[in-house]
Amino acid sequence: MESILKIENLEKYYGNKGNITKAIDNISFDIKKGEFVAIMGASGSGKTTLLNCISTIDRVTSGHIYLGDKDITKIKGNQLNKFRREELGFIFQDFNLLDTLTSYENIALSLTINKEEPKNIESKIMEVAKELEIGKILNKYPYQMSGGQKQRVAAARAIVTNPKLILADEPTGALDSKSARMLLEKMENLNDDLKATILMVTHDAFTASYADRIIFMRDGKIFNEISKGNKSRKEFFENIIDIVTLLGGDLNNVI
Amino acid sequence: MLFKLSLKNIKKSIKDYSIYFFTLVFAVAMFYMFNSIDAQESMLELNNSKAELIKSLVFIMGYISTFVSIILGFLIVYSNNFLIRKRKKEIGLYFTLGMSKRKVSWILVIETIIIGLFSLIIGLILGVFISQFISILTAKLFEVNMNSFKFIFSTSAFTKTLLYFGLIFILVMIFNVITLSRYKLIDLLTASKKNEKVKFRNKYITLLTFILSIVLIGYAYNLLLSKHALTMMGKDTITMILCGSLGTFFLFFSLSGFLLKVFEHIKHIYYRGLNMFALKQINSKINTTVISTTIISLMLLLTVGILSGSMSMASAFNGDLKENNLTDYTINIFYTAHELGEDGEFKKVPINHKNLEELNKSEKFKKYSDESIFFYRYQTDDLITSDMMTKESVKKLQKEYGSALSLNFNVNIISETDYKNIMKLTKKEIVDIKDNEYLLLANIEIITDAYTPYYKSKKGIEINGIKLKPATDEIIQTAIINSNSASNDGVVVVSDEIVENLIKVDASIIGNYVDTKDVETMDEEFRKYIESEELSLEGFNLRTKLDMETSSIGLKAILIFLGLYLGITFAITSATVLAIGQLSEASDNKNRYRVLRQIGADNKMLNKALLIQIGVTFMFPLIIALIHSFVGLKELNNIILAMGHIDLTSNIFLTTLFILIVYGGYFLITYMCSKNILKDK
Repeated sequence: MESILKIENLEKYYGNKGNITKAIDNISFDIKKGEFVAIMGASGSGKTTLLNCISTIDRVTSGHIYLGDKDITKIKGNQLNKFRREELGFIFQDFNLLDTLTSYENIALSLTINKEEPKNIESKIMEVAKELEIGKILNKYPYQMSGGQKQRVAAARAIVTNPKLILADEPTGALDSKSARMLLEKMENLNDDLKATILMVTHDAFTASYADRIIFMRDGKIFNEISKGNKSRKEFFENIIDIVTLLGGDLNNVI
Repeated sequence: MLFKLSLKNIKKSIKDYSIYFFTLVFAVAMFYMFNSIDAQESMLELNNSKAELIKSLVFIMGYISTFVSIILGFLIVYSNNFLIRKRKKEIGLYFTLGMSKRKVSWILVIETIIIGLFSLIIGLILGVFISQFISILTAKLFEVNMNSFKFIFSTSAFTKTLLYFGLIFILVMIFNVITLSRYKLIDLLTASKKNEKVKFRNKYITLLTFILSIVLIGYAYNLLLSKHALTMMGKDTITMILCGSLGTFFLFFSLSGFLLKVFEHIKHIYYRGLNMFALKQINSKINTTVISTTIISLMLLLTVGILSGSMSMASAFNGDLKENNLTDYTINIFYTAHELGEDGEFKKVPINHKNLEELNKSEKFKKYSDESIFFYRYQTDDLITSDMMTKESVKKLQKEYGSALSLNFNVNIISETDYKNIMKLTKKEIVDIKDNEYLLLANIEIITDAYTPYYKSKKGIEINGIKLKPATDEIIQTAIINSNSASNDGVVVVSDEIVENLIKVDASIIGNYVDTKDVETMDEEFRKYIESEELSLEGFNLRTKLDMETSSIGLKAILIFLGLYLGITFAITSATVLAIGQLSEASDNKNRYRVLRQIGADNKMLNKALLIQIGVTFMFPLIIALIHSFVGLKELNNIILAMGHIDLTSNIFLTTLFILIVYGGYFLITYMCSKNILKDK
């Protein structure tokens, strides 16, 4: 399988000469097309910084990030926005839906920003709505929906433009366990049916267990990496818990 | 410590709300400026009558200033309240840190004092500076020379500004402390998290209110245009204002929802870039600001009305004064008065006129004026104004001016000899008439236009059974009695034999002074002589050319100053309220714009969405105000037209330019500040 995201010797430092914090300390890994990868780590392990670097919200100090064959650390100015809207899809912890728009319009917005032809919009939305089972709430406003519904709409917004990579930042962070399970199943479906490549950041072992592969981070470095392979989710989950225990008490808010 | 905190707070908010501070400074400057006219006297070469005019202008400005200060007071208190509400989180933090309400109140009071002092100091400096230039305008309006350029400073305007704005700022402090005392800590801390429920109205209710608003506004327009509710003050006027305001309110209540529904169906616009976002944003906001939008729109209507109205009226006095005042003076006595008889009917009673005819011949009078003409004006019940117009002209006049214009007056008639003497005196061309001919003299534009078709048709008129034909092809444009605007509504000239059998209505002397080197002294002495008891003239009306000139200048100046003062006040008030609403919305929108940026919208798209949002919010009330004023001005025009000639196009252009500069300026600054607030930091 070709790799879609390739990270080489990535470093990100904060602070000035006298006082440097290494948020990311020389990390390299790659993600294959159609993979569902989770990055786990405690607060301050550098996982969110990593996500910000990949999503071009933050600049890297050194190293390279290749998406497809493009080095995204070299993109500048307005090209960044273009890159972000064409190649990436985002799912945020707090949904980030626009409260003045209906679900349908929230999803449509991501297409209109991408300069999609107005006549194609409806069919594209209906397609993802079916996949994420949000057909019935398309005309509702965010304040009329539950957290799980909102996050599924956000997922639809992320996938509808058919991006190379979907970045999910603690997608289950604000959901109850039932909604979280449903969302994760949907994400799994997106991964299986639509061959979406997903990179998810989480500190929750259960959430991570839905991924194919998990990269553990600690103090800005990769600490460990495990693949699901042919294991059942339960076995995989136990695997994760073992490593979390190894990581120490830092990751104390697991289920 | 508290002082330091206050200072830092101001520094922070000056960046985001510069437009508010700008308005404060501008309001102070304007207030000083319009009150400082008294000090300009020293710079101008004024004669007595013009000095009197300046005094009355200062007097009127004083009254208007009180009214203006009330509006500005409302504006400042409202804006300030708005800004305080935006600072809930910050105030909550002070409380959490253990500050007492008293101390937090102190912070706000100190802030107000600093802001007040700064805006007063800068505003007054600016006002003093600009008032130097205003004196050039004053000099031009009063048609006087400036003897020398002096630095002018008005102590009275200075103290007045300090006093009025001091009071406003004290009011602001009181309001701040009251607002503060009502706050609960929990509300303050969760203020930003509170999810504002976005409400969109039911489409049937929207449609219904939209129809209702159109009906109400239509009814108000109908009252205005067919019942002339603006010119004829009465019950209709109040109904019109109520229906118009209510209709405007309902229009704003429904219009954005209505348009949104329309746009939703135009998919290639709605689903293009951030259009959808911008439109929804406008709609969600306008729903919560219907009342303020209505008030803003009505204030803009007042701005347009006052500005173009006052400028148009001023230009009515702009007509050539020489054309309206052919002689140095005119004296005019009604030959008949109306008196209530025993049978309850009004009767025409002759009053003393013999003196006037004798006066014209007296040696003493000749010392003042050696060329003068005495003449009578006659009337007959056979000839009224509408007899000299075609049916179409009458219909047209009645449709346009309604009962404001009566066409049942008896027409004034003079004899051929008197006419020729008057023309000789005023050095105008003399037309000969035969026994069966008549001439028509007039100079009010609308009246002349109404007479023309009938006069040209040569159908002729009938006086005491004698048929007369017009002697010329065109009506002769001329004034007879002095006036500050065109006022000759039609005088018929017929042969001397015919007038002998008519009723005399008034007697006049018109003439020129012996010596016009010092017109002012001459005028004064002449007036003293005419008014003196030895002549014992009753019920006369003396109009000198100088008087007319002065009163025309005075009225013009007062109208222009008044129009500018009120126009600027209403314009900046409405623009500021809009601007502050938009700016505070921009800080609410920070989060929404962050999300848009995250899902890949670039700055170009975001700026466009912001421009649409602010542009539409500014345009909405302006467009409605312009539509209202377009209809209203048509009516207003009639009032002004009754005063004579008018040049409306140039006034509309001026008013538009003014609104474009003031309102457009506020729009641009708001857009720029909002962009700054929303910038990714």
